[in-house]
Amino acid sequence: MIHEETPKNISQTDYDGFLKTMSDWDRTMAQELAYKHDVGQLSDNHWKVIEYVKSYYESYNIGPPVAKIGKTTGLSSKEICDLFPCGTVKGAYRLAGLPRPPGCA
Amino acid sequence: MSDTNVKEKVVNAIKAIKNGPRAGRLYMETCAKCGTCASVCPIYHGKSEKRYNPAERTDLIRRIYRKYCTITGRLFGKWAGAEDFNPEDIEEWRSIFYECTGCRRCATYCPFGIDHSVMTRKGRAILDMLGKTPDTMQKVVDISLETGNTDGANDVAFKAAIEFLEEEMEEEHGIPIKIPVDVEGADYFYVPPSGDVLVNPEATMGLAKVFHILGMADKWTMSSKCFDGANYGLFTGNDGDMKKDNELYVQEAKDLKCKTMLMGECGHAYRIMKMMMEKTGWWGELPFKVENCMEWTADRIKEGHFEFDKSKNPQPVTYHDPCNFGRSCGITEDPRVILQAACADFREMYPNRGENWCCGGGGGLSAMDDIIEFRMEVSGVKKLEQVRDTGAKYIATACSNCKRQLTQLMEHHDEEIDVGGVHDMLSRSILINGKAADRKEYV
Repeated sequence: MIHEETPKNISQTDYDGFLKTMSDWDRTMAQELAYKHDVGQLSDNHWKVIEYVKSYYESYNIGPPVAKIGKTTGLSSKEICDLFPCGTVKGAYRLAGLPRPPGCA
Repeated sequence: MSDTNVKEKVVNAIKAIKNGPRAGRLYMETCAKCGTCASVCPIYHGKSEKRYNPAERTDLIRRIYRKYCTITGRLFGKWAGAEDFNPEDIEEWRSIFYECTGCRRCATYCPFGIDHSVMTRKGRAILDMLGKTPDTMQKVVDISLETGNTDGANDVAFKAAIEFLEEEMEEEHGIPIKIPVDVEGADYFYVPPSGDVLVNPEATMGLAKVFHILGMADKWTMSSKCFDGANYGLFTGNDGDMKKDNELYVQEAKDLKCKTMLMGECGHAYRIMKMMMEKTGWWGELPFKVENCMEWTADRIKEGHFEFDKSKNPQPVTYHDPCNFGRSCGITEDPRVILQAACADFREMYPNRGENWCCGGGGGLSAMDDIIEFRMEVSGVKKLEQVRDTGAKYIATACSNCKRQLTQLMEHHDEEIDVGGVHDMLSRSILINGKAADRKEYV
């Protein structure tokens, strides 16, 4: 199975799976990271969230307010929690290739 | 840097304690090794190993102090508890000084009043001087000094987030509720904690509602340059970084010509602003005062300005006293006034206030996911027990560090307990035109 191998680009992440360089991101790699961090096979809803987070980051150089993700994608907070059991930041932000958020938040 | 240079620098930094504040000398020269500090330390409670004993940690510095600064140490060496510095120990120091949350619980109970957090900060300052601050911490300092906030966000992102919060409030209450930005001459300049606008939006909304109800929507402002009071120089022990970070906010308060800098729900940010802006602090006399938003809102509640629909917050709610508020700044009653007004079932956690146990993520440790195992299985263990005993389903706390640690702690130990702010609960139940918010679910 594909997720049993560690592709070269995953090695470009830090100890917690956050990408070191955002330009290394591609969809295959996002899927690999999803397997690695127990999110599993990415569904359309996963991609909806990931793509929104990524495009927001490209505009504002920071991830979107968490509440805005649900509002924009039309998903409830429960649905988002179910999609990313490890949390929005560790789930969606990480899979979208955003750098690890520093600081307390 | 050669080993000789490293040794010289470290020894000089420790020798400087002798001519520094009297408290520092007291900590070096007076310790009965009675074990009280260990018995009240959240880290030592989590794992009773010698390296986690506060007195042993301070001894890393004390041994060298004795060697160079006391006659008995010079004459009798190890027999008098003195030992020379070994540059090879630096890597171990790097771990050990970041295994203390600086919560100051030891100082509360120590019969001599020894505050081991001061020596932890001294140890970290020495590491910082050698360029040995852990990367995760240094990154936060660098980003904050570069951008004015620890998220690395710019003014455009901030304004977009504020606009979103205004939309949210309009949907909740059916009327526009403003969050003013960059208004010169506003009485109150609100400085939120790290991430509160971008990640945890409800506290800012709560405060906006308070100003709105009081008819003071034009009396306050936020700043698109300074929207994160966090200051990690406190945690790395680098006074220069701490001052530089602070300076930007002081200047902005002056430029905005505010009368009050209203600090958000962030313990260390408030502590730094409050302490360093004393007349004897860094900046001399300033044209504004510093107040915490919880003090401000609690006073307005006590004056009887607001009504609440407590059924909006039916779940059992407890309050975790952030160490920097409860132990270091004496802000203990105001958050309780707000929570008791806004929630149907408020429960105390015991012990609390100035004797509360640290969440396990203080001293900046919360930002260090590279030591998450330690935070979840050692430093956070006591807090987990305390929270479980309350039966609460929501932990309110007034610190982004605590929130992050507690959220991770609950998830790690499979507890379905939400974590959030104090004004968050107010935002959910305060009445505007006789009606509470038609609330959104936040992830």
